[in-house]
Amino acid sequence: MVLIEYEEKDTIMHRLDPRSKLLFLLVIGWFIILYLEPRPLIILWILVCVLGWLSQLPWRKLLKNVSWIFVLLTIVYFILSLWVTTPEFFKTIPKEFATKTILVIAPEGTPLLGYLAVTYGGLLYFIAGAAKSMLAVVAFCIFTYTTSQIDIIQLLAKIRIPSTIIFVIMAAIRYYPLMLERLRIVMLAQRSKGWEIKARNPARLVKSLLPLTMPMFSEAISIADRFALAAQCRGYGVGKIGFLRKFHFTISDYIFCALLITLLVLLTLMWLWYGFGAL
Amino acid sequence: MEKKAVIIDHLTFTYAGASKPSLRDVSFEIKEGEFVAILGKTGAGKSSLLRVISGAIPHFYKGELKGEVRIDGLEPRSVSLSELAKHVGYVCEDPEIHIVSFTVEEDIAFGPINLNLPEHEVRRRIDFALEATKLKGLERRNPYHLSGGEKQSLAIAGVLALLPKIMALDEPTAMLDPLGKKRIYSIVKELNEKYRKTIIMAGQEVEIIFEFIPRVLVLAEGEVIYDGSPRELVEERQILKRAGLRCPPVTELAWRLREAGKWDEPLPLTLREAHQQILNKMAHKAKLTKTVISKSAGLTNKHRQIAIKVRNLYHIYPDGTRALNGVNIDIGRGEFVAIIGENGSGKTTLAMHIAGLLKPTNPDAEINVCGIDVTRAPMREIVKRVSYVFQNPDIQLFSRSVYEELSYGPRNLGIPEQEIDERVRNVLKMLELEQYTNMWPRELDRGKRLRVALGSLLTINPEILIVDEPTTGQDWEESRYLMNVLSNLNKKGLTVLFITHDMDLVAEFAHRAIVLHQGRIIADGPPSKVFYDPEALKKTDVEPPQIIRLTMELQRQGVPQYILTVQELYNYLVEVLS
Repeated sequence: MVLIEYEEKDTIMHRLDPRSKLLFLLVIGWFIILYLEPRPLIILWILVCVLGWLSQLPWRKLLKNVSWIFVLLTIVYFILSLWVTTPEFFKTIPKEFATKTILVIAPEGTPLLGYLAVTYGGLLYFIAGAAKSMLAVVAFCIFTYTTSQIDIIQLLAKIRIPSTIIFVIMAAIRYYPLMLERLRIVMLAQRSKGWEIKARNPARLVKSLLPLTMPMFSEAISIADRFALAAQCRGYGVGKIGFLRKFHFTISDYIFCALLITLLVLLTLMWLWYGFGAL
Repeated sequence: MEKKAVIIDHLTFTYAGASKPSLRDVSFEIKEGEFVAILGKTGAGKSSLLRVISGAIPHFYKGELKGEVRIDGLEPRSVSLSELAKHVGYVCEDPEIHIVSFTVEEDIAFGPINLNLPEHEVRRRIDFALEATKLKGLERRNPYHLSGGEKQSLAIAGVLALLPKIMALDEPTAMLDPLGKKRIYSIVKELNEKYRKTIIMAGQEVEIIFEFIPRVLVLAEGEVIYDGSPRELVEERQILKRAGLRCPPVTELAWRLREAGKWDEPLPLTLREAHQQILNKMAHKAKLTKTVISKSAGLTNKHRQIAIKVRNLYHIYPDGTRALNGVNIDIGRGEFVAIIGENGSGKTTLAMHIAGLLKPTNPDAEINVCGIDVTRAPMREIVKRVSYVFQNPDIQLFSRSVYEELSYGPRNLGIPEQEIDERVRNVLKMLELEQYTNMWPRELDRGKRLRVALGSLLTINPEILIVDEPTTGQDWEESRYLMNVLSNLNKKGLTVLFITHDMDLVAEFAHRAIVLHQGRIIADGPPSKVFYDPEALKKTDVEPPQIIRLTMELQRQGVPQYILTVQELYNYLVEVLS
């Protein structure tokens, strides 16, 4: 799914070889898995902001498009953080501080849920989780904003991703803007029949969404179907994918990759030796 | 001996799960370099036939296929769809489905890179496709920002880059405005004449098809009922009737004159032919001074009570597109208004503002509909007064039965169940949907689905009905049926606004035409005034109907310049030629 469509520009990030940009994504992904604590994420956020600035990323549009993801992820991480209450979670920060309870949500022995509380450690986990998720989204947007779809297809083919998976990725990139537009029209169409979300009861809420979900479901299937047909009618799946332009590393790519690898090694060693980034 | 591009012999195809075949015992051959149009009403089997030719049947659409099919010498069943793409290029009606990339150049490159061609060959093919589809200069543009005609050109370019010998085009102009249609017809004509491509194309625009496509295949209920030249086809009234096809208006005029004993030459296919033949007939006749009463005359004072008042309306979309630039209009109760203009002229945006579905981007705009300010009124109040039927019925339908779909709107508004039932039954009867009452709306054909979508709004009993392109994707019979329904509703007092690119329908049904161009109203009045104002229309891509263009050509012969329909010109000519 693409939140910011590729835009042809002449920036240093656009000129980079897609493989360099893939390395950037992998490095960010690695640290997102590794880090559980918010402070080291500041370094990665600075890196991503600088690269976003160099890419001339449309920040306002991006924030508008991703705000719902941010809200969703914040809620998810907040809920998850309620279970981060026991000392075993914490290795580097003082356990007494980390497990200190701010607010009890569900007392000890609550059926199914167990003990749920807002703790200082849980709060750190929550902040890091939300920051990591947004970091992943912005890094991914830098990649899709600066790398054309043909380059992504060629890149995936070059690293021997099966053509079926490439098709799924390609369809997902195309799907999001198309489905978003269809959803807008479906909503308008139903509003013209007096449809509105007014239910608070979850069962009624689901029922009230039916006028949207049914047409969208059928549109999604129809579009996917016709898109698959259109791709095959353009020779997709004949065999090996060729190139519109051959990938080649320039001096900028070497410098960029060297910086990324240095950062990767340095921060990983710090994590190993000093627990930098662990809770 | 000329090579055959397509050989189809006793082909019968039944979709998986269908009870009856979509194609029955179809046999024909197409030579290399031929240009063939496939005609027929919705559900006649046009798309199925093109799917067979492109290989989508049986590779993509499953079912039982009987008979022999040879495409460029290949048996589609034994070759993969992707492999077949090198021989036949398939383009469907919705150009957005074909877009795979975010620049025109890369989109075209998608096909050639799938064939793993060398870089220089990929470039060469991109250049060829750009040239052949008149997209040179747009290489770096985002396909989503192109006009409808350009998007469809890109869809054609995308398959053309695989250098197929055959192009199978399934109603590529169905979703385009007149300019887009012209563009596509000019491209495919050139592909056939200059690049020697075999073109097989389904379409509805008989005026253009009959003018320059030498061979037509007519389908009805899955069978080929005619295979020959358009000139011979227009003489076959029974075939045209069975296929639900109309003739070009000038041909229809000549046919009626022949019936009245005033025409003994072959029927004309083009405006030029009709003009010349009528000139010859009128050469020795005196000019008629009697006034022909046009249907639009005398309607101006009827609609004094204002139903819609729009003042100083601007709308700028979030991407910066200025869709409306200061629109001011008054529409009276009971008017039947056509909103016309090229794609992107602001027609839909204006209509959506009237329906309260969009809000103006300038705070001082005023939109008053049936006494309420729709810029501020709650949606529930607006819905009671104005209904908006969208172009695509499928985005509106979700219920399990036609009955439920029709009762959804009034139920939302809290109408008592007994009254809902009464309204639904009336609308079912009016739209001839009674036999489908308990059916799932999505099981119906497109024409019926549009009727259900229309019915689901009529049960609200609105005072104003707005219909967005009611005839797009519909065959001629269904288009006329819908327009007659709207006309009858209008006669009962409903104010009707419809957006359309079909100028024949505007001339025949509308009392008033509002022409939009770049978000401004550039002409407004009865069609007899608007269509005879070439200066205003010159700014837009709107072309008056063929019969009006013929009347304009006959101006020197004294033909009155407010004739709108075939019947009106016929009435005049019958008198002159008597």
